[in-house]
Amino acid sequence: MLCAASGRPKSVLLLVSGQIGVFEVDAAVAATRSMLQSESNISLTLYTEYLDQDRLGPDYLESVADWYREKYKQHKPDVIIVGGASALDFLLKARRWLWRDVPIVFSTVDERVLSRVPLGKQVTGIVFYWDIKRSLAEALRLLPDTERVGVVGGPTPADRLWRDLCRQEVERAGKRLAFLDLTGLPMEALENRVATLPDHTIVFCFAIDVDAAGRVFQPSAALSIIAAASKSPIFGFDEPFLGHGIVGGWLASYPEMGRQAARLAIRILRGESATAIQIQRSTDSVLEFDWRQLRRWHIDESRLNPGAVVRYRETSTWEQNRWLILGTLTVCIIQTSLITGLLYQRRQRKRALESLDERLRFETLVADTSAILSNLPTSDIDEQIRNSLGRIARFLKADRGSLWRRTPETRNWAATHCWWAVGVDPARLSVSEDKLSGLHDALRRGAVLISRLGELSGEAKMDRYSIGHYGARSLAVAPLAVGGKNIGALVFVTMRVEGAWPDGLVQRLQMLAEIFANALARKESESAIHESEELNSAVLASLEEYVTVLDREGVILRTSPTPALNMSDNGNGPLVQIPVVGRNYLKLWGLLAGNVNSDARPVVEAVQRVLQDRKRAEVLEYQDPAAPEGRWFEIRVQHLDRPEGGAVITHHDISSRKRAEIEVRRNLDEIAHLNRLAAMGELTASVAHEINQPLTAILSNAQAARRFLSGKSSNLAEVGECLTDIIADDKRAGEVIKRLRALLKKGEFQASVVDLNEVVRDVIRLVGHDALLRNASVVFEPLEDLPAVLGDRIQLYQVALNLIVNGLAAAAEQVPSDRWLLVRTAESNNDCVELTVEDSGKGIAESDLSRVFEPFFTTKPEGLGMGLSISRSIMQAHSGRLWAENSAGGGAIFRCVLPVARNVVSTQ
Amino acid sequence: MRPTVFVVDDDPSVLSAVGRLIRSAGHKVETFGSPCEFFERSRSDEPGCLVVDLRMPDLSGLELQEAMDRAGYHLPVIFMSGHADIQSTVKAMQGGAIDFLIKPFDERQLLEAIDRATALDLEERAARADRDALRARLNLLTPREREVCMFVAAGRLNKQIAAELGIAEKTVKAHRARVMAKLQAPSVAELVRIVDRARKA
Repeated sequence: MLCAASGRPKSVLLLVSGQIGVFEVDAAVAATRSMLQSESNISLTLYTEYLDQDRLGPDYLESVADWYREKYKQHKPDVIIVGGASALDFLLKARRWLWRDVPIVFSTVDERVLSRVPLGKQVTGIVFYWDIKRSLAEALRLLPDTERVGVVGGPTPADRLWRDLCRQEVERAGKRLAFLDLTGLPMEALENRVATLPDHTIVFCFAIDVDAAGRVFQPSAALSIIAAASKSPIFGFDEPFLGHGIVGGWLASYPEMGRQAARLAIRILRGESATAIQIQRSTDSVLEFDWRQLRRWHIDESRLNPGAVVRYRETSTWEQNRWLILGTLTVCIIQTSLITGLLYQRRQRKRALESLDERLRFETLVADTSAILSNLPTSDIDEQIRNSLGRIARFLKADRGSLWRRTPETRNWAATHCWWAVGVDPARLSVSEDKLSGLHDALRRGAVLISRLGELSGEAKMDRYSIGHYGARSLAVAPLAVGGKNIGALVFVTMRVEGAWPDGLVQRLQMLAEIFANALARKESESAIHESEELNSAVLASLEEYVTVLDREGVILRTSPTPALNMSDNGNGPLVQIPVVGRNYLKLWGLLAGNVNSDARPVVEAVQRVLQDRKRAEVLEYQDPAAPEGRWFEIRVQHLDRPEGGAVITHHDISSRKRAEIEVRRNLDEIAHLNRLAAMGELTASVAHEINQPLTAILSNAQAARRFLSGKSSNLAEVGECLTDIIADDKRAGEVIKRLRALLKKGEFQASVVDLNEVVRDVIRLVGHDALLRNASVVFEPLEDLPAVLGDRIQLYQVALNLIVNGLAAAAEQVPSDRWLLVRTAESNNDCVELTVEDSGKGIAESDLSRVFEPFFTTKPEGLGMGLSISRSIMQAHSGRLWAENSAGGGAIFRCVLPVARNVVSTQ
Repeated sequence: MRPTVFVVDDDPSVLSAVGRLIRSAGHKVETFGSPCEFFERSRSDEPGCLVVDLRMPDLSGLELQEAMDRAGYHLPVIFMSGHADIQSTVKAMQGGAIDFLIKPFDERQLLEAIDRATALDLEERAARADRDALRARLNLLTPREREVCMFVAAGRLNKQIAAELGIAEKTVKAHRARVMAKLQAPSVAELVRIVDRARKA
């Protein structure tokens, strides 16, 4: 319906009195436009024109009208919204030839102004009524002392009009108010005037676009200047001015009027006739005040009309941040209470920890005491008991701590261990039970007594005097019991002050008492054992040369003679007869065996074997490990032939014999070594030869290799072979040296598992060249898989060497064709192996067959004669034998026999 | 035929090393672990020389030398030994050894000795061959021709030879001519030389 027959969008022209950029004008225009655009669902085209006639003067208006007509010839608006009286004035005047039929909606025109202008048809709009009277009344209400009313305004006719209207109201208001005309002044003058206003003056201010001097202002800026300079409160009419310096009042809102005008325009566009629409008054002004100005002029807010709105209220910090501050305070309070609570808790806990700590320390002390006392050797116990008493007493802050023992026979109590603090009298160490009968009864019952002297009650009360005499001011006493019987007491007393015994002392004392009682008991039993041990060693030591008769169980029935022993410490005391009879012989030895003396065990086993009828007799040697220079006994155990069984044991001291044996063995080792050296000397030729061969091969190989390398075609394969052989020969030579070195080393008997065949082969290899030199042949007939023997390899090698060298020497005396040596190994009876060396020599005279083994016996002019004797000694050391025979062929046969190594697996 | 160096030693490593050394010098070598082995496998017509260890189980080096002489096996011998005892050395050198090397020996010593030995061997072989050839020629002579040859070589005149043998001088002359022809001797001087050379053992 609104899209007219032409179908083009409707156009609206906004004709504005003032200029663009003025706050109020812009606000109004913006409100109008937005209303137009939003509320209508018509498509509109908006044009806006600013007359700005206040600045630019009235003379141009005619030209402007022409110009408008030209400009909008093709775009005739469908409705014109006019803002401001001046623009309306202009438009009405130019209506005849400009936009004659176009409906007009005006806005922001004062009613009284309107009445003077003939409107004509198609004109409607929004009027407002600056209610000067009401505003004035309001201002006078707020400031009843007012005597003068001033009016500030610009130089324009409109301003003059308003001035006059104001003047009228002021006069009508009565009260003999003076009227000051401050319109039409240049700004500086105006400033001065307002700054010098007398008291009790109020000012009404109208918008100033331009002052009398022609300076152009933003009305709000102008207001600010004036308001700042003014000595009197300023009231105004326009809502936009609130906040720029006016106190307030009934204020008209331009944008509201603009919106209303827009609505009218839309109605017209929708088809209503403008003439038909009644001119409307704008919505009533609002009563608003600026809180800052109220404060500035000390206007009491309570005097305001209840419906007044106070804006720009500056809230104090409190008001602004009320919740923040409350919140912060709350947080602080909560925090503080938390902290307080925590601190309190901490203190509680600290106290608890302290008490716990104290308990822990005591427990530790008890545990330590227990540990120390249970692990000590008996000799240290007494001292440690005293130390422990001291530690505990110090912990309890007691002055004396002691262990008391009760002797039932004498009914006397004696302090066996006592500790006292520095500066305190040492305790009296013994007291009769009668004086402490009450205490004693209590202890006997197992009660623990802890109290101050004055508080002793019950049975103990009677003893108060005695205890006081003792010097104690408070005491803690626990009974010591071993095996259920009370043997004494553990006592702590304080003497200087009355004691503050810690909590839980009763159990602690009981625990300590138990620990000490155990320690004492242990000490006593260990002493008992120790005493018996000493006795046992003494007994055994004394048994040399004694004959001892045992029964089947090993108990000593009789010894002959009865052993006597010097039991005193320094060894010079009288001899005491040892009660040996009745002790168990096996147990005596058993004790020794247990004490890391494993040599004693065979003795025990041997005696047991005889006692158990497993053997009739046993002989063994026993070395006393305790004796520094070496003591050996020969112990013979003989079965006793009687129905009850038993055995007779004799002990012989064989130390001197043994020592001699050792000496001989030592000498033998020395001599064997010398012998080896001598033997090697004899075989230098062989030795040299043994080494020479590999050396020759090495040199030739090396020189050959060099030649191969420098040849026409380097024959690397050949060189490789050279090097391989060099290495092998080098090692061979090394082996020879090693064997020689081993042989020449002076060493002690070293037992190992030895293969005799290997030994003999080595020897034969060594003497091979020598044999060749002598044109003798050496034949070896070994037994395959010959069992190994246990012995010193070098010494066995030496024996073989001796025999073979001797054999060769004997054979060499024969004619060259008859020089031979036959070496054989075989198994012999009784788990032995036999080595025989037979030569083709002329044999040994019958009378000499055994003499040859004597030292220094030799038939050779340059011989030492030691070889065979040493060899025999070596064989004897190996539990073997060496002897000589004459063979059927006329030569000599030397045979040596060795036991096979037992429990050894032959690894051939 | 290239000369061969024969090495005999009972120590296997020495045997192979020495053999290798000689081979590296470019000679032809054959090695044997014992004299018996050597006798079994070698042939007397091979030129060369013999390097042998003095002391070995079966047969000593000296004995080998003697055995070869007996078998008519002529090879120059070089001895090596680990010993330096004077007795053995003297005996060996007197027996005609080229050299006596004491183990361990430097290659130069050995190779020089080998060079000398092989050279000597060639010479002797040549000499022997020459002598055998001449002896063969002499064998072509009849007994009577031989008699005449000897007298002529002794420097007797025909007249004297005729008188000595009891035959006519003319016969002597005839024999002499035949001898000269059979011996391929162009002159008496040559004949004398031939006879001399053939006589050398």
